[in-house]
Amino acid sequence: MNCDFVERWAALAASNDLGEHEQTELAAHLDHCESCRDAAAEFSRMEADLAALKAELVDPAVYVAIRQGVLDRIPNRTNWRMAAALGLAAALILMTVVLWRDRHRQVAPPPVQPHPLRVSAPPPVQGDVPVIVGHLAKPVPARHRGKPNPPPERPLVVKLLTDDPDVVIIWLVDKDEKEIAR
Amino acid sequence: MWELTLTTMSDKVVADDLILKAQAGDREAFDQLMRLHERRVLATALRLLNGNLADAQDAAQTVFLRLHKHLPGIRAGENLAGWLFRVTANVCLDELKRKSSLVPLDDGVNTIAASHADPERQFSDAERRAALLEGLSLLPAKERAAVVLRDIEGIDTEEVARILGSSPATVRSQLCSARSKLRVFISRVRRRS
Repeated sequence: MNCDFVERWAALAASNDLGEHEQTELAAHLDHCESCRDAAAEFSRMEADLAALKAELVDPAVYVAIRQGVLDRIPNRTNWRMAAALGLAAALILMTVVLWRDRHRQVAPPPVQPHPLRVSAPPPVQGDVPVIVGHLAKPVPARHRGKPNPPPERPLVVKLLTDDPDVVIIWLVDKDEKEIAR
Repeated sequence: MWELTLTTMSDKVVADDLILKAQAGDREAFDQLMRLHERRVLATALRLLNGNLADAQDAAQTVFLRLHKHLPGIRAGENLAGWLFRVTANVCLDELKRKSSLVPLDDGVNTIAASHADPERQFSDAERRAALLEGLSLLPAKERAAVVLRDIEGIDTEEVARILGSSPATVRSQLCSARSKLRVFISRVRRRS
């Protein structure tokens, strides 16, 4: 077996990275090859030295500095929550003040100007023919109606013809036979 | 299972609890989580970055900031140590690429050996350790990463392959090459001392 090839195996054998068959062949070679035995011993020593590096201690202050450096650079959610809570509280206070002022205005509303009551005068009589004008209620358009309203009560119209064709007397009477106009 | 995995059930429960609390924004829990993993993160970064403590500190901070950023995606029971090793290796290898500080081991052997030229001196344990670290820093980055994770941190080869994003066969090849180079380097230094 080639010693160069065995050295590769010896390098891996130190960390148990060899298969069972390769380990057997390596052991057989090392039995009769002193240089490879020395090489294997050096690899084992080196493995032990490397493993010992793990136990080396670092000054604890270094770890503290690392942690502090990280914590300083990550967002502080506690601060965000505090800021959000303060913002919410400020908004509530502002809303309370606005509502209180609004309500205060509703308690004492500004004085309302009274509208003058308009009374329409009866139309003047023209000429000799007395004409009595009555207004019928204007019908509400269908689209504006919610429920069908009962038809408006029309006043009873009574016309009295006289001998004079130019004179007509008209009475408007409601359902109680109460005279509305003449 | 490699030794860095949290071994006892109670440790695992505590770690999962810390992850859940940290995910909910608990800074104290995140601080505890960092304490739990800081040694292996810093030690790995220190070895991968040629023993430069300032660079290793920066790398460790970057790793923990990435951990914080990715906290929502980490599930309880996940192998957080493996995730951290992977990120640490990536951060350090990126840093090495950025600095372009890779020196082939063969170039470094003669330079280092020249500084150990006193034949009267014994090759003490301290010198052997110094030579080992020197040789380690002169290895190609991928080989150094394999040695640091496998030989110093004691992670098994399959896990190292997962961390480095390669196959176990590749890692074995890298380990074999790196150990042979280290042995030759240390032998030369010893002969000249």
